[in-house]
Amino acid sequence: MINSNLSRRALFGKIFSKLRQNTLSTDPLFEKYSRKTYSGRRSSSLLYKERRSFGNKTSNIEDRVNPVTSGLAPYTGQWTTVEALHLVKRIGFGFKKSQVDVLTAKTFNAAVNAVLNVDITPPPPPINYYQNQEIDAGGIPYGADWTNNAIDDYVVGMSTNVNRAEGLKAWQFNLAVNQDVTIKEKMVLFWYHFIPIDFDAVENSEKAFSLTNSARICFKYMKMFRDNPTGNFKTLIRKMATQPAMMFYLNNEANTKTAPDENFAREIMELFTLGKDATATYTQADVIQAAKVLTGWRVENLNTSNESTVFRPELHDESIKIFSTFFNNTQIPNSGAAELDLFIDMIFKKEKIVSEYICRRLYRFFVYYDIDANIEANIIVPLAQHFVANNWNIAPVLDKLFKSQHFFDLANRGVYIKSPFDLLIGTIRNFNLDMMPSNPNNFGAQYKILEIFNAACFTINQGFGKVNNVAGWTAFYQNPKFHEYWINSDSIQQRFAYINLLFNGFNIDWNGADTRIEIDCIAFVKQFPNNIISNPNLLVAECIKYLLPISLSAFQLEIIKKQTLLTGQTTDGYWSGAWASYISNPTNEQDLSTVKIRLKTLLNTIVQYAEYQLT
Amino acid sequence: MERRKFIQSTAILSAPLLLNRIPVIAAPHKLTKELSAVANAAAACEKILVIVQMNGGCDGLGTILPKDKYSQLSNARSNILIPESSILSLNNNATTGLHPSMPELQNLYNNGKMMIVQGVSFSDPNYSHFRSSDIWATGANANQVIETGWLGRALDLSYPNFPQTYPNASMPDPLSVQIGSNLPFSLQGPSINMGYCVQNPDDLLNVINATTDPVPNSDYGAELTFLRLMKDQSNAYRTSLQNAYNVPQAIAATYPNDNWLADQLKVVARLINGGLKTPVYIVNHPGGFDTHENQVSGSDKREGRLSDNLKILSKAIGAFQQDLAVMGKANKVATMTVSEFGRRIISNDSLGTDHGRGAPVMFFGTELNTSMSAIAGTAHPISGMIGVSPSIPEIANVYDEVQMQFDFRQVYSSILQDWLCMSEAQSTSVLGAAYAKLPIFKTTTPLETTKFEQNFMSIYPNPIQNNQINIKFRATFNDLVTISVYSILGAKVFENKFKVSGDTLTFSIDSALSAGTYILETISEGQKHTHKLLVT
Repeated sequence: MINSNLSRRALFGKIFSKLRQNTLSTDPLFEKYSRKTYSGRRSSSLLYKERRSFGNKTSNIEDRVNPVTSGLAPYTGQWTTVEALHLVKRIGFGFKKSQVDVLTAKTFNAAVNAVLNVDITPPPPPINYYQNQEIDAGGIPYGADWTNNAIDDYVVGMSTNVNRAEGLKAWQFNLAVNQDVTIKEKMVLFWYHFIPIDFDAVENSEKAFSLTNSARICFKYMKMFRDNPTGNFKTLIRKMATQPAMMFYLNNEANTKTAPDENFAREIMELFTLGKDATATYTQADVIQAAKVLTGWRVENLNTSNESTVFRPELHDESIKIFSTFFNNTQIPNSGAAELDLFIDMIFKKEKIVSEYICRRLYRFFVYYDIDANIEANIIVPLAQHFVANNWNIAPVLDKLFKSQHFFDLANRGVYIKSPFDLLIGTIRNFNLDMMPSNPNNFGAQYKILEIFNAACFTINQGFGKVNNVAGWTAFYQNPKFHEYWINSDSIQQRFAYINLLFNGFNIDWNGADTRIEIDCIAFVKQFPNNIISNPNLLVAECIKYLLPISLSAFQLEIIKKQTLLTGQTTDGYWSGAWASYISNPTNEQDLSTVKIRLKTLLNTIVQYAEYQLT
Repeated sequence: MERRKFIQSTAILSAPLLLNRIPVIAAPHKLTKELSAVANAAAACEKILVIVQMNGGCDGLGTILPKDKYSQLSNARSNILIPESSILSLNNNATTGLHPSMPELQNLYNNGKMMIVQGVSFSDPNYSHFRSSDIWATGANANQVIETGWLGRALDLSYPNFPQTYPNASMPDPLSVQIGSNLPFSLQGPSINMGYCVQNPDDLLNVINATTDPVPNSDYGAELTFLRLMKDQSNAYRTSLQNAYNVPQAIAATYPNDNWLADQLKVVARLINGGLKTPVYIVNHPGGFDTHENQVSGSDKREGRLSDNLKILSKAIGAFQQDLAVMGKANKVATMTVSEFGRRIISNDSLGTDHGRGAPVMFFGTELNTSMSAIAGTAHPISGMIGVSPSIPEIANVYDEVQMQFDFRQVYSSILQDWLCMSEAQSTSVLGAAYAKLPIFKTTTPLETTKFEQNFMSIYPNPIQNNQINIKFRATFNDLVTISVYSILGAKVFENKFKVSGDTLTFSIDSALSAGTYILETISEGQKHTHKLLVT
């Protein structure tokens, strides 16, 4: 159990240092088996050669045996459950069969339109769930919204702020679990990982009132993404630049004419807009000039609910900022607050570089990480042109990508290593896991359960509110192994163990509720028509169609059927009979137990295949 | 600082609880002194149980034949009955013989390395494969639903906190190795399945040799290979499996080819040779025993599906026992067969048999209680057999069954206590009730030779009246006597200690016994005696 002398930060720090250790290059198994180095698979066609990887650096990347040549032309192939599953598992977390059914009833174009048509109505806000453990320092009652409640003290209210910030993570997790069929939650996550803040770092930024009000500004930062997740990218960058949470996270709050702080200036170029590949040849001198442009912005009134980032001319560097040839020697004259807009305009004038960089980030988040020369030429470049042509609006880019031949190319099916959220939130959703206490007003228990699930994801390297650093999660940016960085010899075992746990079930006893959390295997298969369930061959095939990205061989299907649904027998009728008995008398304990045991074995067997880690 | 104090006070409330990096969600067992002692005892036990699953319901009468009932069998199942002359005979056992496809087992029996337990079943038999398999796996009553397996509960008791604190110094190896694509229900523990599962011997070899199955030559194949290798090679048990598997074996037995059971047992033998501490292995017979049709061949009744299955079993077990002998570990290993039920006495018209009830369970090993001197004068005086040749009606009808002689949980109780070093209390806790042991294994302290002696005591009146039991002993006592009463299924229904001075003892049983036959057992001066008790 937890050591009570350990603060949360120290606890996370401990776990975190271990994660960092495991993540990069210290894991000998990872080094041995990552596809970029492991040669056991490819017999004759081993071709290593130096070539441009259009990410951050160049590296030795193995060529594909069969080049993927499909492009952005509209997909015209079949539109069945299999294609719909591919789409929903990439634009969201896992699938819900009911939502997949809605999509397959539509035409292909209508279905993609539906998943891209996000509802921007704000969800119910995070609330006081912690009252039974500790009263709210701002006087917010149990179950009430705290997001507009400022705390006017440096010290009193720190623990309320910690509770609120933890609740904010749980709230995010819950929205992802309960996502609709659209891309909304995945896009919120995309923006969060791409332009991230670390909740703990914001809280701990040692600015006045941040220790008592950080949760509130983190909420507002997330709301910025949530309010328009497929909107205009340039507008988003401008809004983000003066968001209080970002001001604290990347220290622009401390940027002053006497001591320019380059942190935000560097990252807004290197990570959020231009990238740092070989064509983005801006210089350190440009970063220094940008830092001067960005001097003078300050967060005020954080101890009230009307905090804002204001421009303070007396802190602003009044020189003329002169940029390098990369920016065509642009000069930004001394013009106060307006310099920020001029600066962003200047960046977005490098439209090819910005648009291609964002498109690569989107591609690696939604499709696959290996961008070779074909994909660069056939996908990234034209998609980026489309982005610019649509005046930096994201929705048309997504529309183009998710209606393309390339997205549905068989070469892109099942190649994506699930992120921890894809895996755990996906499993919760795939199996309609009911993880909430029976009393809908037991907010304490609800938030605790969500918090534990978010923490479980965090132990396998991804959690809401927490990023390794300002670059987001390694798996989405780090050359050359990208998604494979989710996997190390520690996380791979946990990834299987957590899912196993959901099938075996466990209890979370908190705030007066003892909540049983266990996947209901019978309810899962009951989503299928009875003629499929009662035929063991069809049932195995159907479960695998939904749960694995690519079906297994007929031989494997036969073995799975025999060893799970048939308990080693060869007569299909034994399963059909057992199911028929259960259906005709669903309250008979023995009949129920007979089918439950076999369905649990079947489903747990399928999800313990390595294939389930892919999507 | 003030702030630190606040954090400290809230950490316990709102930080996610993590234990060994798994959120603490179920309340795990407290690792008490008592339980550690159990774990240590289990580790020190060093006995290994190998279970051979024979799915489908093996025809006991066709496998282990009641030679003494051959004429009754001829009446009941002439279309599938093998010639009397072809039955393999067993030393010192005139009543019983083996199917001719099992010469290796005959050899084991005649050398005291095989034990047959006759008529193992459960009351209210169920003819559903699934339900019967589940009953065998869980140890449930016929009308009871249990969600954990008997071995899972036993391992959970012996190795508390699994898997959180495993592997560890005292148990570096898997608690159980199963060869088959899914973890068997019998290994389902209270919170997690206790088994380490590999789909087939090749998969185990993949883990050991760091190889993997072929995949498509594509990005999907590349990522799949990566994930499989990472999963297999990071398994906490890989090193111990690999080390055990790679311990050189100076001489190894020759295993038969094209025998999937032998392939599995060969891997098990290598792991045992290498000193793996794993106490339970489960292997699956590849054949189906559900022989509704073509159990025998129309042209030669000694051949057919059952014969094919028995050849696989006999050859595989023969080689495995030989292998264990040459590596010097035969005394550490006992192997048993499990099949969910037997088959009907009367055959059907498809050269087969339908689902039935009782069937023999087979044990193999050097530590079985087969010595003539140990069994002389006991309730089970036939060397290598517990129980008697099943009774077969002169003219059997379709409802006639091989009757139950022993509850399957008596077999489990014997294994837990006499083989896996558990105490009677632990066995009772695993099985939910006390079941009288059967003398399957040699016991190091042969104190309790059960004697079914009319001469030691008598019960009067018998049937008893008003729940009062009067015992008259033949000799006078001045000692404590432990009295236990078991149902005919082996469940303990009463136990108490009495001070006996003289030659009579009278006592009452609190709760009324239902009508039936019971066994009354006395233990005094290190001697166990039993007597039949009737209730009407």
